Amino acid sequence: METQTNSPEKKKGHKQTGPQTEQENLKGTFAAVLIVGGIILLSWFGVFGLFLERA
Amino acid sequence: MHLHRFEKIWLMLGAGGLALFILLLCVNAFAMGMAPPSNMEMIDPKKVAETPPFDKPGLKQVGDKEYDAYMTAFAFGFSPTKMEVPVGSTVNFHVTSPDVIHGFQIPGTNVNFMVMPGHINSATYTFDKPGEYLIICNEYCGAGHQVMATTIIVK
Amino acid sequence: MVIARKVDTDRLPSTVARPAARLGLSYIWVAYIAFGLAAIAGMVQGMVRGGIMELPSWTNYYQILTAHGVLMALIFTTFFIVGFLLTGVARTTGGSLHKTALGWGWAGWILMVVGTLMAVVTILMNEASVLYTFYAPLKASPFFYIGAALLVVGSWFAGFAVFASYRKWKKENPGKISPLFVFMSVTTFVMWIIATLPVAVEVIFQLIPWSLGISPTINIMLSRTLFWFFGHPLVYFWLMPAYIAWYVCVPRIIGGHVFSDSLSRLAFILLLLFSIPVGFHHQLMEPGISAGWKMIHVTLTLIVVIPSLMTAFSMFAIFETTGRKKGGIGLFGWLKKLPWTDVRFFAPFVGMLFFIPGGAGGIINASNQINAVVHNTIWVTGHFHITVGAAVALTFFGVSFWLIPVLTGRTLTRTANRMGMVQTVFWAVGMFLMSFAMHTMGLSGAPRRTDYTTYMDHPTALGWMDYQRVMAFGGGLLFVAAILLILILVYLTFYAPKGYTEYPIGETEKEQQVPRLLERWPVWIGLVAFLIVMAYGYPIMEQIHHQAPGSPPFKTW
Repeated sequence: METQTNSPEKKKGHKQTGPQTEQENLKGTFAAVLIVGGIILLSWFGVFGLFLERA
Repeated sequence: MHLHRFEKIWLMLGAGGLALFILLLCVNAFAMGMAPPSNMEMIDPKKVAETPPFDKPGLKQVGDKEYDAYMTAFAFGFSPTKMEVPVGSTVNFHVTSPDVIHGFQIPGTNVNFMVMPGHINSATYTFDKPGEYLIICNEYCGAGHQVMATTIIVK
Repeated sequence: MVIARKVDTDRLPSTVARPAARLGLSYIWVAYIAFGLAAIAGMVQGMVRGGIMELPSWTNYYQILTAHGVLMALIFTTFFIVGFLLTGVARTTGGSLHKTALGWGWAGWILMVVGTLMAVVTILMNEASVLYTFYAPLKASPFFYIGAALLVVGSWFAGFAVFASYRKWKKENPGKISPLFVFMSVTTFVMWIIATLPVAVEVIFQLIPWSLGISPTINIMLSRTLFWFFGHPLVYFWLMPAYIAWYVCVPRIIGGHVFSDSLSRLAFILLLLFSIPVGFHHQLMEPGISAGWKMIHVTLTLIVVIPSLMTAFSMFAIFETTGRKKGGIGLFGWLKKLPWTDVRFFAPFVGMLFFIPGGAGGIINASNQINAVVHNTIWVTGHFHITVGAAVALTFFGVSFWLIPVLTGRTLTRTANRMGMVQTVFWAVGMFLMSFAMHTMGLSGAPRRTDYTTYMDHPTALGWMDYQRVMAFGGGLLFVAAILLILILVYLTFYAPKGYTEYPIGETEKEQQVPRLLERWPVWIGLVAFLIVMAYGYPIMEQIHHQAPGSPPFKTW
């Protein structure tokens, strides 16, 4: 089936996966989203600057 | 529901950033008086030509280097067609439309608002540099939309 | 449960039964016919605005602009979305649609096609050059508005088809959490139906009687508020199906897994809640709405960024976990392990990249007074070309490259895949050049939706000309990409070799717990209603009680 059911043995499975997922190596993801955040901040402050300059 | 530690940090940073944007916008809009043009005055669009002050569109000096510009935006032009103010003048634009929706924009400035029939919209700008400033309609208003423009000369 | 398993082994696990496939293909081909026509209009527009060509006297820029906008933004998107979601729902609820769903699906298709034809004919007759936002008091032919209403009602029927399939699946699988694709499709259509109610009210109770001459004047403010009540969620109606492809299909294509089932669902619930009560951020420069109410909508708008931030994380996480499993190391080494030569991945991935500046620009547009810098400038046109025209469209192209073969029982050959890659690159480069020029010009004040003009050779306007030529060049590349796309899709529909193609549906790597609350629709719909009443109740009441004198109709083209 697609994702999950709430049968008891599957709940057990979930308990095992919890900590495992926590250790998943996602440093690349974190770096990538920080770059995205940086782009958002830079462009926003850029246009805000333009707005203040033109006021 | 389980969140990866990095995702938690990312979402907190993201939400924090957005909150910062909102804070800056609020301070700038409400404490520094730079809220977007939100004039609540109304007018009958069918009677613009006979409603003062729009019956005689033009510049009115209201103070030392301060002017009120009462203007109409129509398909496809602005009235008055000629305006001239000295350098350093502050102009309060008040604009309405007798027909469809128009735009009012002075490129290179923050003067950029919608002109709607039935409503009067306003913005203020201080012209510190001399020049011939272009005023254009930036909302589609019909076949001649692209010629709908005028200028304000600052000397 | 036993019965379900039997059905599964009876057929290949990831196909769509013939009747549902035929329905899906009918939607998708109407979408691409509209797309092809719109692409011609778009190319012509770019050339005219770039000063490269002039139009013959029997047409004008705004007629072509209306055709481009209506066909691309309303017809192409809506038809494709319905085709994609209906087939995906069929695929994930056992491979087929039952009779009720097929009935709703076909009824919707007929209504939508009739509506489309009415709108297109009125546009061709130059009776509806009002652009796809049809702002009153510009008055189009009543048939244009009736066509628009039929299109909307038809899309509701398509939504009912999704709901019917969902209900059937629920009945057959009591106590189970629905498949992710189905959950997301239901959320998308719940959002869509709620969001289209106000525009239906605008069209049926304001525009149609007024354009027929039954009511002499129209409340402009109210009509605009109702339009943008719908207009922003419309954007999310384009985006959510692209997100479905990203969350559910892309992980399978790259040989990975869905990152988090519950978080994906949560993102969609947040989109449902916050994509609607935000319309004033399209009306920031308007009179008649107080600064305070504008700020409230701005705040709600920025909240709807959060699910997109979640999506960004999920996407990179899917790529990283998959890339690492394939041996990628270091901070970004996993990127090298992704299937870069598979267009089913490459096209949506390029779309995702476009969504980064697209999202950033969207936040700027919605930022209250800052909107004055970009409002109604061609920056806005650039913005929605990189969001809907690149992020969403490239994702839809990427989906089409496998969806059409699935539905026709054919295969995506190596050559077709390679052509798809070329097509993606052309589209991306064209869109990059065009939208870059548009964004830059917009910041210096060039207006959107305006025919070629130098404003009597005013130096400010003359400064825009070089960018307009770059824009036209990008438009040319986009047109080449559009032709290539249509050729590939014709090949995949009629000529590609017969064979098995997978409908890629990703799954989580391990069983994941999904909070039941996520599927309690009355809770979410109740919350949506609450947010809408909070955001719109008072302003709309004011707009009715203290309305400006109404406007008679105008035909200014």
